[in-house]
Amino acid sequence: MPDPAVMTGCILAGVLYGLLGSFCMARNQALLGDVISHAAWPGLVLALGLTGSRHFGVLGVGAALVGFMALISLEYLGKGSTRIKPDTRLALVLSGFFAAGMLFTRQVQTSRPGSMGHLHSFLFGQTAALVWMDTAVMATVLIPTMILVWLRWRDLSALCFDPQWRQTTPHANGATPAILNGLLVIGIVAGLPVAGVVLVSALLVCLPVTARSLTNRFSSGILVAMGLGATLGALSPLVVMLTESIFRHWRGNDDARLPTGPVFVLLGVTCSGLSLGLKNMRQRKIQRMGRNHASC
Amino acid sequence: MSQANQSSHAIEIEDLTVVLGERTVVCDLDLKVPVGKLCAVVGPNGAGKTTLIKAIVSLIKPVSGQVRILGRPFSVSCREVAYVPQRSGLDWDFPATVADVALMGTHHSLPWWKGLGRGERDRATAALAAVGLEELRDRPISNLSGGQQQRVLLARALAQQAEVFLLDEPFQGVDAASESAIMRTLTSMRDHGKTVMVVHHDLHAVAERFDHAVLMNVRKIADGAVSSVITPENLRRTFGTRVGFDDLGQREA
Repeated sequence: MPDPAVMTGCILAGVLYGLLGSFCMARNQALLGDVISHAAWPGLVLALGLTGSRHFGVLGVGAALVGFMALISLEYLGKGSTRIKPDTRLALVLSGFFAAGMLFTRQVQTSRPGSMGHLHSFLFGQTAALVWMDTAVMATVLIPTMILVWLRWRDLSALCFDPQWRQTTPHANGATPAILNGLLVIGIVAGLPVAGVVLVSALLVCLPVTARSLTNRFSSGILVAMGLGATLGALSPLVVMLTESIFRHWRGNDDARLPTGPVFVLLGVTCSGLSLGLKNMRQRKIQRMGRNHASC
Repeated sequence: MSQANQSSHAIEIEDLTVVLGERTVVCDLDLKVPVGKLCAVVGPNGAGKTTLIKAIVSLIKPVSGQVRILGRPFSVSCREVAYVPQRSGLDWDFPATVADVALMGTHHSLPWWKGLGRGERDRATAALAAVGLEELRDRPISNLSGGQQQRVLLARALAQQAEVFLLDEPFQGVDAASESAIMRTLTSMRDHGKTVMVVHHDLHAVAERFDHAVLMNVRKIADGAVSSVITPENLRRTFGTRVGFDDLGQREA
């Protein structure tokens, strides 16, 4: 059996990213997760450089702080001119923060030699090394997120469909989107040990994309995305274990373990591809039926 | 509250100036719209009509001036106001049904801890029936025509049970059937004593079916009863030739 901490961590990450990702996609901010995760990198490096600690609790705080800074700079850039489109803003902030991260990396590499290996596990994720502490962090993000969505469901769905109109209604306040964004930052940082800076945003995107092509309601889409996340999260350590034993059997190779994070992402992306393909096929079938109908 | 009811003006605007980026979009605009009027806002593209509506509902912060709705600032009277944004600015791929969008209009009459009840559902159904969409209530909004999209937004506003309605270009890219359905709804709203302000492009429709009009081109050109506002002279000053604009500029100076 796979390590229960790894399994639990993957399932929690799947549920969390299914939930957070659904809101990102509905708000046309699918790339926001990518920006925040890349902005977390300089935070991780700085925290390691300043404290020398390798504890995720310490590094995670640094990552979250810089993630919030990225979020604030996105807001700030958006205020100035409408000529800078949202995707341009995202690209600016992503590359700026990541470049700063690379700069700090070089510094830390020289000042604290030997610590890079540890940082690399956050860059690409190291799911197999998940411990119960990591899963606890994820659970403490997931629970308040679910409570927020439960309590402010109507406000959040209005925010996703028509944010301007929502602002003109009496109950709208700025706190709901701010809390949602805050939870997104913390959620992404909490998920870094699973998928890493580079792949975390893939999980945020592929689960809701699959759900979107399966349902036409926002509420059921979120449930599907969360359920799919849990399923794939449980499946990926199993796939890793299975392939490992197959490799061992075929080649007698003991060192042929697939990385769990990328397997998770690949499964998710495959699901998105399949669901979109199915949808296209269904549409084509309907069009063909329409054409036949028109000819007779 | 009683003071508000005494106010005979649904919308009162004083000295409103809005600057977007580096451009003055609305300049020193004064406007009073009486209660119970069907009011059209007319002007060329870029005349600041959308900005005016957005400033009324506090989506844009003006540089100066103030807006009162039913005698009170918008933050107090927002319950009495329903805003219908431009259809093209929304993401129609959002996973929701026609009924979901209409129900959104009932949300803020509920405290956040309460679930949607029978009353809210009935209100949404009635609003959909008023715009002729009750048969499409379970259809995803991504499968609607432009006119149907506009009618859904109108239904959401109806479900808000407001007193003042502000509609931004509801007739843009809408087919004839939807146009007449929307116009019928607006007229019936007016007949029920509501105040309806509509950004509109079709001068003939305004002249025939509206009772109040505002002509604007950054500044207000004229406002009042349609018959007195839509005159060749006012239209020339609003849409005019280049000469018309220069005249306006000199007058300002």
